[in-house]
Amino acid sequence: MYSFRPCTAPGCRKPAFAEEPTCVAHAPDPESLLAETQAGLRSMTEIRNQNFSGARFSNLDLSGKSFIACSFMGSTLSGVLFTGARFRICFFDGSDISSCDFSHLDAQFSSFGGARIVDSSFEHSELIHLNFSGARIEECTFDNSNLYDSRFIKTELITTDFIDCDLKRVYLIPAEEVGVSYRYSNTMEAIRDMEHLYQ
Amino acid sequence: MNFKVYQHYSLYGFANSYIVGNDDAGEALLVDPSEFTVGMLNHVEKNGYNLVAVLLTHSHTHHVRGLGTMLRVYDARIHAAAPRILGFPCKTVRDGEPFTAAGFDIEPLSVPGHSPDSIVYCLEGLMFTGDALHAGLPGKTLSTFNAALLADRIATKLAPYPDETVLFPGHGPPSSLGSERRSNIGLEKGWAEKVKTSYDFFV
Repeated sequence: MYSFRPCTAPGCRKPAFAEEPTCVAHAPDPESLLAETQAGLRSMTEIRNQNFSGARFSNLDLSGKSFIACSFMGSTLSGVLFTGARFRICFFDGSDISSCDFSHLDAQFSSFGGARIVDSSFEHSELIHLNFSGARIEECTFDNSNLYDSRFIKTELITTDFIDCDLKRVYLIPAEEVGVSYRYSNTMEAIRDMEHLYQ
Repeated sequence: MNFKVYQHYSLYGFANSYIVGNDDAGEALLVDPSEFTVGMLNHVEKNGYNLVAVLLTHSHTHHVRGLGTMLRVYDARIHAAAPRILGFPCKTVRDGEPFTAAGFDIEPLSVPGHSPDSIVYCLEGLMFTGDALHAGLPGKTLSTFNAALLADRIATKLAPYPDETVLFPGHGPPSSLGSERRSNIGLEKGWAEKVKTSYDFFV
């Protein structure tokens, strides 16, 4: 597991980036730091215990790589391919994710809480015990995926499809739901209402 | 510090158990053993850990039932708010009294509401919240008073910790403190007044 080390810049409470003493914003040369990190990621097949909080990655191919106990909290990911990747205990909370591919993903026990996810695909994936609570998910597809025990509580779901998904034990209690399709999915096995919680 | 977190999903109560291994010390601690399986044993042994401590977030059976099995294998000290659980003596933990186990400095926070003995354990930027706080939801409570108490304790006790703090709950997926501050239903104003006296979201 990555260790939480606060940024050494005075007054900053953000976590330090990877092996650096500071967060990305307080690094002497953030752009070269991110470029080096991207190059390093390309060359690795298994990435363990790394904290990439606050990273800005774009047009990066991380297909088939294995991420274990890594954090991308508060990062900006654009055009990043995670096709066929593997996530275990990974965190994308508060991230801004656009035009990324998570199809054929094998993800367990990870969190996208409060993330903004736009124009991205999670098709044909194993999405087990994932947290999407508080996220805004727009123009995305989860078609043909297994979402066992995942949570979409107070999530904004906009023009997003869950066609032919396994929704067993999925908490689907969105704050907003516009243009969402659950065709061929077992919504009866999902938790869809608030009546257990509110009188 | 080099350490690993291993999550075990138990079909008994659909509960999460965690093994937190300290690679530097060669020791590990177990959080909420809903059961103690061969897979968990293999994880401990494969990593060469000595399992020296158990942290119990509360005494409900879905979080402690594996104690007996585990104690047949390892001589681990049990840390909990209660003095005895399932007949096993516990080292009593109190709010604001940090302790060390398996080489980790651990801060216990008392967060009652789901149960009177609910403890949240903080170590290395992680929080093991048990049933006090889940992703998107607070723990189950049986009264408006307890719901209000839980919401208040979550808001006040967890306030000093940064948004990036990772939450490992007793049920369901992980989360972060920042996400829960922004969108957890139980932290909404007026939540406690709306809660039923009993609900069956969790087992």
